[in-house]
Amino acid sequence: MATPVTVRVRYFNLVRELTGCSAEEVTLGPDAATIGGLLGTLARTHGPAFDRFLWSEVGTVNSHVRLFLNDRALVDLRLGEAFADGDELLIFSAVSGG
Amino acid sequence: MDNLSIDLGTGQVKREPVAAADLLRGGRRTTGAFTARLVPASADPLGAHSIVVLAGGPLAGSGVSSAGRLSVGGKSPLTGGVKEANAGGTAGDSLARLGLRAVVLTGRRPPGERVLVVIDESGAKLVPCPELAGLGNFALAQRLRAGYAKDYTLVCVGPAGEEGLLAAGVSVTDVEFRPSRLAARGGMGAVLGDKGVKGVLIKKDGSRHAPGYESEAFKTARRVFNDAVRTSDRTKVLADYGTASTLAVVDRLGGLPTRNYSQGRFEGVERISGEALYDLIEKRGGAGAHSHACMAGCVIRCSNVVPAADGSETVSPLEYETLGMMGSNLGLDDLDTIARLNRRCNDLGVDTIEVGATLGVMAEAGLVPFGDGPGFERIVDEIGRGTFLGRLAANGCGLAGRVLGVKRTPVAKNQAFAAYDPRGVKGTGVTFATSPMGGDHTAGLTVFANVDHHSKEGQVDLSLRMQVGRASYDALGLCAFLQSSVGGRPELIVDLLKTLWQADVPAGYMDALGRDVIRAEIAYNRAAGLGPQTDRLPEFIDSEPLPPLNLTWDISPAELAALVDGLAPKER
Repeated sequence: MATPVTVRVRYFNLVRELTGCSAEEVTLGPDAATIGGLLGTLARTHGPAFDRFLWSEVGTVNSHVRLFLNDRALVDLRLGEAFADGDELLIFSAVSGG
Repeated sequence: MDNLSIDLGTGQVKREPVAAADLLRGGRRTTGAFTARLVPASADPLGAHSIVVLAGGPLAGSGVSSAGRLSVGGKSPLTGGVKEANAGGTAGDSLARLGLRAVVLTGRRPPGERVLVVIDESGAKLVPCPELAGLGNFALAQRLRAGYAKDYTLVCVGPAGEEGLLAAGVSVTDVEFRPSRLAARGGMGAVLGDKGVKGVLIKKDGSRHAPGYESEAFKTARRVFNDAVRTSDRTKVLADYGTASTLAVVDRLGGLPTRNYSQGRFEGVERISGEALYDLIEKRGGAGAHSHACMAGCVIRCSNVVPAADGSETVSPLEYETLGMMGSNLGLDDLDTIARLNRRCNDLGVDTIEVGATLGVMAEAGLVPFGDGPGFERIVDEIGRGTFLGRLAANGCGLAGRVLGVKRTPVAKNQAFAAYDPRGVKGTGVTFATSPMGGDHTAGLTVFANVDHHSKEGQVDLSLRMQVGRASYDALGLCAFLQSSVGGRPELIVDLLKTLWQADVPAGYMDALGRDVIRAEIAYNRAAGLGPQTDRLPEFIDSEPLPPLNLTWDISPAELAALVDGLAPKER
């Protein structure tokens, strides 16, 4: 039988202002333990401003959202990618320049 | 619009109009063109034939946000090739309002003599200033404040420039007459100091403008441009967190220089990150500020002011590259220590990237333990005292590596890597290897692209695009941070050029401009002896996997050569 999955989520720069915290643990049911499922949960939890930060009007993740899953930058984002228990997801708001 | 040439030996001043073909370009294009024209490729960068060019861009002084960068260029005593370093502050705008695109300083004063070059509407004059010799930049600005702060921009060198140290930069005052915007890289401060110039004072209140300045078309283009910058989500990140926000990203990529580029992640990253810096400023208040504009009218405001525990100002700004090179690279996890090191470097007028890399090599050689903040502060203090150790710390990382026998010396074209490990951010590694500027992130930073930075796929093309884009921005006097908001809309910049200068701007102008700049720089470097063998990274990058992600460098010399050959085809 599938078991719930707990993911540690860390927020950086402006993102932590939108969520009001710098990290949290989120437990997802086995059917929702995907990147898309987690982002949907977070959008509902943290309100409309964070929802608008994450999601475009057509339901895609905005280009200014930068995600790392553990050590890997999620470049070609697949919303159906599943988490393993204990995974860490990092969320940044992108900048450029330097 | 004119160029002003000043012979420092004779005091002769010559004002000549900018050629029509050059009205739409300045900055790095102008510094490179004068260097190619006036400095024989074989010349000693600290010799009689050297020059220093100060050049603004075509949009400076017109109220366009972030368009007043000052390019400082000539032949680099550090790389041996052509060099351009640019800085914010108020100099670009001040020059433009005097109707000047560039100031070209040739010749030199007799050994030991110091002068101020004072430039206003009537021209330029040399003012002997023996009483200012050896002053740090902050004491110099303080001394000049009463007579000049309100009406002038100061461009100056600290003691390191006067001593001809190769890590010396050229400092520019910001809106508050704070001399802490450095055109830091490549040793141009040593060239200016070697000429006997302690400072250049540029009158701010000139009244000259380009022909379309009052036109409705230009005002509309400016409003559209400034609004696009102001309303960008990415601008807000820069305003609140500055470039320091990059730290956590590069650490996560495993490319954050740690203990002299021996590791790619730093266990103390959370204590020196952009978020930690934000919290420190928030908690202490006082003089601290998350957001600060180094140029008048800049709507990005990515600069900051870092307060000490008592609320007084330690340094402004504290940026990513300094946090990397004087923080994780030295094993330091204390923001106050890093801020003090930065302040001291600004006062001496040295490049925190070059000195940070050199201190890392010195630590690896056992001269000071990694993590020993007071130890590193003592060495930086020695730069000002001119001791052997101090001179070693400020004459370039490459030299320190050779003197101390350290193989892990992070340089390209003898210039230190700027806080991105090539194995973790490969496109930026390609830039370090192939740019005529050497190990300089400002020549083509790729870390913000949404690509797999660990894969070699596409990195050469990405670096090429970034190098060309950056060169065009540098030639227009534009701040790189505009790329956050309007990087994908070059038509907005073209509209500004067209309406301000009432000129036709051909299709593809910016891309062609960037390529033209780099092509000319490569040609100069080749003539100066920087052949294809210098378009490489040091061997340790090839031979050492970078922990903890065990990242390797796998871009071949042939792939690097293809980028350079594509920009500057060999003569057949």
